Amino acid sequence: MREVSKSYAGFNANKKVNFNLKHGSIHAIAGENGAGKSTLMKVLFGLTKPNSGEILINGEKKSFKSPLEAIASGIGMVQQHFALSGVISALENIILGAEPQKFGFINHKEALTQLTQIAKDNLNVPWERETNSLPIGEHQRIEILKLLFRKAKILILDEPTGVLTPKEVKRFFELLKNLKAQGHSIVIITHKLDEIFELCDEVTVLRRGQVTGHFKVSSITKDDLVQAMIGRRLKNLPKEKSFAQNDAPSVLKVQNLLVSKPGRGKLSGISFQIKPGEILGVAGVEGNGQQTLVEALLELEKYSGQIFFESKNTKNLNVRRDLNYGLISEDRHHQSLWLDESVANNSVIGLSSRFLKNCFLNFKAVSEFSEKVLKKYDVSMQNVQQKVSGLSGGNQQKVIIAREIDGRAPKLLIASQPTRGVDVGAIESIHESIISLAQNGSGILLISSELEEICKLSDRVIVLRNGEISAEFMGPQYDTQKIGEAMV
Amino acid sequence: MLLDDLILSAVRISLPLIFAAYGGMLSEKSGVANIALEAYLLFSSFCAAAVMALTHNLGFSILSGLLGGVFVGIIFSFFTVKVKSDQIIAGMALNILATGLIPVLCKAFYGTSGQTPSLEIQDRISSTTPFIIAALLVFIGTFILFKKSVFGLRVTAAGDHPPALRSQGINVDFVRVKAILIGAAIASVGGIYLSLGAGSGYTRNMSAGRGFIALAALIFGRWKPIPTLLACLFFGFFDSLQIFLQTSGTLTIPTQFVQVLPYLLTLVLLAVPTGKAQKNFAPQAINRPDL
Repeated sequence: MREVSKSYAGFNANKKVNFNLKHGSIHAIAGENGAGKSTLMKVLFGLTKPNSGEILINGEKKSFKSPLEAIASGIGMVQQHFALSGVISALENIILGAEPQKFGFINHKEALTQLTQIAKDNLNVPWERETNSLPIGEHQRIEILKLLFRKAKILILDEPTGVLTPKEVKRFFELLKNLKAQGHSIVIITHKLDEIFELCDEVTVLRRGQVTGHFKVSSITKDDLVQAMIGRRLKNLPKEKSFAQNDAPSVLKVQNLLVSKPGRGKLSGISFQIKPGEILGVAGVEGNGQQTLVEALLELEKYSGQIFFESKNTKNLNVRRDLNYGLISEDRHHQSLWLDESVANNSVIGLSSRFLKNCFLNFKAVSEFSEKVLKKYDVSMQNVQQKVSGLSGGNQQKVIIAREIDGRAPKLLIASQPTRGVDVGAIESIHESIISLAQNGSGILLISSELEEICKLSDRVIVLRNGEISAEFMGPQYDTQKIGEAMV
Repeated sequence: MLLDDLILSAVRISLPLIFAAYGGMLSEKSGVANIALEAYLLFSSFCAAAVMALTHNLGFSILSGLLGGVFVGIIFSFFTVKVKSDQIIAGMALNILATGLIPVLCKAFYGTSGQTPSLEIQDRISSTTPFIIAALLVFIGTFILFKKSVFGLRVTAAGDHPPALRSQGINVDFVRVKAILIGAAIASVGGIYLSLGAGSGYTRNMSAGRGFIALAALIFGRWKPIPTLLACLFFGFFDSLQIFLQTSGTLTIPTQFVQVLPYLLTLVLLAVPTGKAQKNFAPQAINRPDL
C-alpha cells in the first residue's frame, strides 16, 4: 500500500501510510486505539475507499470497490466484532455468500468435502452445530475458515485475541503459525506487545494515522515499540507506597457472602474488607464467582450474609444512586454505555442530577464537563457530540473511566477488567487514575484476569476459586507463581 | 360428522391466515417486521375482485390480485429498506392507507361505499381444493427454502446478523427486498381467496383483522414453518368453533361474546409466553434497518 490517506469528516484516520506485506510472513500493525489501524485495513479490504494512495498486490495495481473484489484478489478479513449469525450452523456461516449450489439449493455435501479438505486436522469445528452453542474460540476459527474457504492468501485479522481465553489464544497462535508455514500472509492488528513478539515477523506502527516505525520484530525491544506507539516511553510508574489507611473504619465489609447458583458463578460464604485508600485485588480464572461478587455488591443478586458500606448495611439499597458506588463493568457495551448516544451524554450517565438547571439537563455544562475530563485521558474523537459507538474500544473505556472516577468521585470503586481491550498508553492512564483515587482515600475492588495488573496495583490480593477465597497475599511484592497456583 | 364439518370449516378459515403468515414469515425472517399483512390482504382481494368484475377472466384476476399485494410490498420495502423508516410505522401507514383508499376507489368506480360488484358463481373459485393445494405448496416451499436453499440461508442471516452477509459483499437490502416481495405475493393468495373463493367479490374491510391474527400465529409459531402452520390451524379451529356455537342456537349468551373468542385467544396466546422468552426466538435484527 502506497501513500494511502483516508479522512472522515475532517478527521485524518490515515495520512500517507505506506505498508508492505511480504509473502509468507506475519505482519503486525500496532498502535494505540484510534491510531488508524483498522481504517487502513478496511481500505485494503475494500470496505472503505481511500481519499488517495494506491494498493499493489503482487506488483499489480488494484482498487477495490467492495469486499467482493478484495476477496476475489485473495484477501480476507476478520473484523474485530465477528460477522457470524448465531442461528445458523458453523458450516452455513462459513459458506454464506459463497455457497456451493445446485439450482439455488445448497450443495451441502460439496461444502463439507471442501471444508474437511481445508480444515485438515487442526481446524476442525463441529460443522453442523448451531453457532450460538459454540464457544468464542470456535467462532474465531469459523471466521478463519470463512477466509480459507474463499481461497484467501492474505488474511487480515483485527484484534483477533480480544475475546479469547489465554488457552484459546495459544491454540489460535499455533494455527496462525501453521497457516504461515502453508504460505499464507497474515496481517494482525493488535496493541498487545506480547503478541507481536511471540507471533510476528515484522511490525508497522501507526500513531495518529501516520506510520511512526517499521521494524523487524527480531531486532527491536519492547521499549522501542512503545516509544513508536505512544510517542514517549512509559513512565512505568511503580506504585511506590500504599495509601491504605489500615486504622480507619472499613469502606466495605463483606461477611459470609453466600450466593447459591447451579454451576459456575456461585459464592460460598466469603468475607473480606476494604480500608479507605486500599486497593484490593481479586485474582482468579474468569467464571469463578467474580461476576456474581460484583452483582451481589451492587445488590443485583440475592445473597445471604452481610455487606456493609461505611458500617451501613447495604441490603436492598440502590447502591449506585444512594451510596455513589463507582463501577467499571467488564461488559462495557451492555452495562456501561449507551452506544447510540453522544460521548458527552455517556460521560454523565448516572450523574445527570449533578448537571441540572431548573429541572432540565444543562447540556452546555455536560459538554464542558465531558470535554474537560476526556481531554485528560487523551480520548481520540471528533468531538463530544459524536456517538460513542464510533469510538474505538479503548477510547470507549476511557469515557467510562472518566465518568466513574473523575465524574463520580466515588468512595468505593468496583473495577472489573478495567483495561480489557485497551492499549498500553491508555492502560497507563487508567492505572494512574485508579491509584490517585486511592490516594484520595477511596477503597477500590480491582477484579482482573491480568495477573500483572493485579500485582502492580493491589495492596492486598485475594484469589477466588470456585466461589471461595483460596488464598490471600499481602503486597507490595507478590510471588506470581504462588498466586497462579492458588487460582487453579 | 359434526367434527368433520368443524375441521373442514377450520381449514377453510385458516387458509387466508396461512398465506398471510408465510408471507409475513419471509419478511420477518429477513429482519423486516411486517404488520402490513392486513394491507396485503385488502389490496389483493380488492384488485382480484375488481379485475374479475371487469374482465371475467380468472387468469387476469389472479394476476392482478398478486400484483396488488406486491405493489403494497414495493411501497413497504421502499420505506423500510430504501429510506429506512421505522418498520412498524410504515406497516401501520399501509394498513391505514388500505382501509382508506379502497373505499374511495369503490366510490369512484362503482358508486358504492366500499364493495365491488357481486360476482356471478362462474366467476368465483368455488372449490377450496386449489387453495388448499396452494397452501400446502407454500408450506412445503417455505420449509425447504429455509432448510435447504441459498436464498433461505441468506434471508436468515439478514434477519439475524446483517454484518455476516455484508462482510461477504452481499447486499443485505437486496435480500430483504426480495424477501418482502416474495412474501407479499404469497400473502396475496390469501387475499384472492377472500374475495374470489370465500366471498363473491370484495366487501368493505374484508380481511377483518386476519392479517394481525396471521402475525400472531407467526409469532406464536416462533417464526418456524411447522409451528406456524399449526398455529394458523389452531386459530382457524377456534374461529369455526365460534361460528358453530353461534349457529347451533344452543347458546343463550349474546353472539358478540362468542365472536370475540378468536381475538381474545390471540391476545392470550401472545401474552402468555412472556415477552422475554418469545424475544429469543425472534430474528435478532428485526425492526433494525441495515445502515
